[in-house]
Amino acid sequence: MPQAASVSVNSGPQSPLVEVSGLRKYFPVRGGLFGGVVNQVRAVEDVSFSIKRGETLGLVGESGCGKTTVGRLLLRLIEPSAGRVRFGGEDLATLSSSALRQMRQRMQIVFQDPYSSLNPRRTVGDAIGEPLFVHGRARGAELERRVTELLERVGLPGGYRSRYPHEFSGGQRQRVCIARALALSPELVVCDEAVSALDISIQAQILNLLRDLQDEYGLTYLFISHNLNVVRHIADRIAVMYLGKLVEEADAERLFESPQHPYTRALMSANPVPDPDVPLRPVCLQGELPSPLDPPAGCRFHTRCPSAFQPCSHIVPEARLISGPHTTEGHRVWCHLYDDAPNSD
Amino acid sequence: MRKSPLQLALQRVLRNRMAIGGASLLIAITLSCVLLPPLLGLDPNHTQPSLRNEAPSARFIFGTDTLGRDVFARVLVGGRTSLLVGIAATAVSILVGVTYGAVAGFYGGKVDEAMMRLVDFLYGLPYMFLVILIMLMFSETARGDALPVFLALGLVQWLTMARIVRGQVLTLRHQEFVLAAELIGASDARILLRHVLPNVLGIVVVYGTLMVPSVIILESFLSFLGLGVALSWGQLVADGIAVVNPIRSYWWILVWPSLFLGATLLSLNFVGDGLRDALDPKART
Repeated sequence: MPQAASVSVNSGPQSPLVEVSGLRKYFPVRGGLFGGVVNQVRAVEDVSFSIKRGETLGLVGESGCGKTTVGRLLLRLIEPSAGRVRFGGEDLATLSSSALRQMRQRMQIVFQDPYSSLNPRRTVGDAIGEPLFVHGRARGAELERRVTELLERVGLPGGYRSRYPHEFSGGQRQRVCIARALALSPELVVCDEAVSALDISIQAQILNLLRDLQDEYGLTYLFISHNLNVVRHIADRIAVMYLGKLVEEADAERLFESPQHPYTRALMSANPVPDPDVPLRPVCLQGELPSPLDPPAGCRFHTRCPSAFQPCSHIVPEARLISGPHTTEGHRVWCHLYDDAPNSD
Repeated sequence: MRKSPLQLALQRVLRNRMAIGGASLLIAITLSCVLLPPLLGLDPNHTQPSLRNEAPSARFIFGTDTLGRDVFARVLVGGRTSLLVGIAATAVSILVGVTYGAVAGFYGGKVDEAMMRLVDFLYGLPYMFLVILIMLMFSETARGDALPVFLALGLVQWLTMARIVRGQVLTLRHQEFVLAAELIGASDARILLRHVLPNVLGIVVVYGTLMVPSVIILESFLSFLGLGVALSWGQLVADGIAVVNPIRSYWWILVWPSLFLGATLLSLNFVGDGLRDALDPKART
């Protein structure tokens, strides 16, 4: 079996589970008399990062910055326009559809909306058992037993398996979705705004559940969110996106203590801290988020950047490595303010 | 026992008085059309020249027509044809329309584009022209049979069904539970049959119920033109209109088949409306 061989080659603790390089996704905008491509939404542009086994990478950014698209490209739910995703050392784009089906047992997703992510016409037991059934891992009584086990593992009574999604609350549904994602014992779980639709108290429960599951099964997470506090709680490393591009990537603590990119700083300062003694002094960004149909030349952030200077409007910044305390891994910044720092690639 | 969304919807229909009334009337009409003629030994084609144009009486409760045939027998036997054509043509159009629309919506892109342009093209042709064309393809002997009629009507009616289903599938296709099924490794066939189509079912049932009356009307219109089935409500209404004249009116020849036709159409619409209300995802009670 091809993937068995590749696992043995790449199973060293140092090799990353996921490597993304130069990932790009343009969505065509059709229009005109003959429905030709008249424009392109540049949703994701030249995004590169890697995730180590057992690590949680948080991906943060405003709505519409391409976070979700990155998550879906990673799972090849949509095809990239350019760039590569390597999972366990294998290039996903080169896999045949049957090999991809096998590969996908190792990667799952938990979606944002717990209402549209479960089929309203099927019981939650069906939903959780389906992956096991489809891959022939369990049938009949064994399937029932595994489903019950999974339900109990995510904190729901096993007897709930014959209930329909409309009988559950949002938080319970999200637990069901997590159970479904875990059914095949995947290595990577993409959590796409997995707690954003839930109440604060429920968010904490689900986050703790995700952490426990990570410890227990050695899961690797790509945790996509716009909520900095949530990401800080769960992520080991954080990547910040703005308008389809990465602007900064660093260890979670390091990023919160000394954000380098002006955008990250603005984002941090706008983040409410639940402490009445900490004054909120947001760096107010001017202007609106530019359209990804026609992103600004040079640094995409230059139109709103408080520290923009001469090269920003026409030269695309390259990744720079910044050193300092707490940097076990590289602290990468895409900003002309740091042009003196060494190039990271 | 847990209630599935479909069972909950059924519960809502059962609480809708108009729908239940319509359904009861529909069942009563269907049962009488199917059971009464053999039970009472009624012959719709038995002519009695001495008893032409008799008004309703104890012997002929609906009267007799211009050839002395029992109108009651003719209305019941004609109802069989009309109902059969309505249901069979709807079944044909559901089968073709759902399959076609589901495939187009599921695969999207160029496949969808090509498939829906064909539908647009067929839509553009006058449907009567199509029906008459299909009817003419059958031999002279088959004319007057029910089979070519419901094939012809079904093959015209599927276009709207295909459009409706395609639109629904297109939105469901990008629902997160469908993406999740894809990621789980489910095959296309499994995703379509287990995840997409069950969620289209409601609207198909509603539209199917509302399609039956429109097919019955179409068939009546064909009969009116002399292209339909030999003995159906449409044909009987046409016969009835032929004898309406200012000198003498044999109203019973026209009124009875019209009444049955009207009652059936109305009932079907009530049932369809009831189903639509019950299957509306926003309805909660």
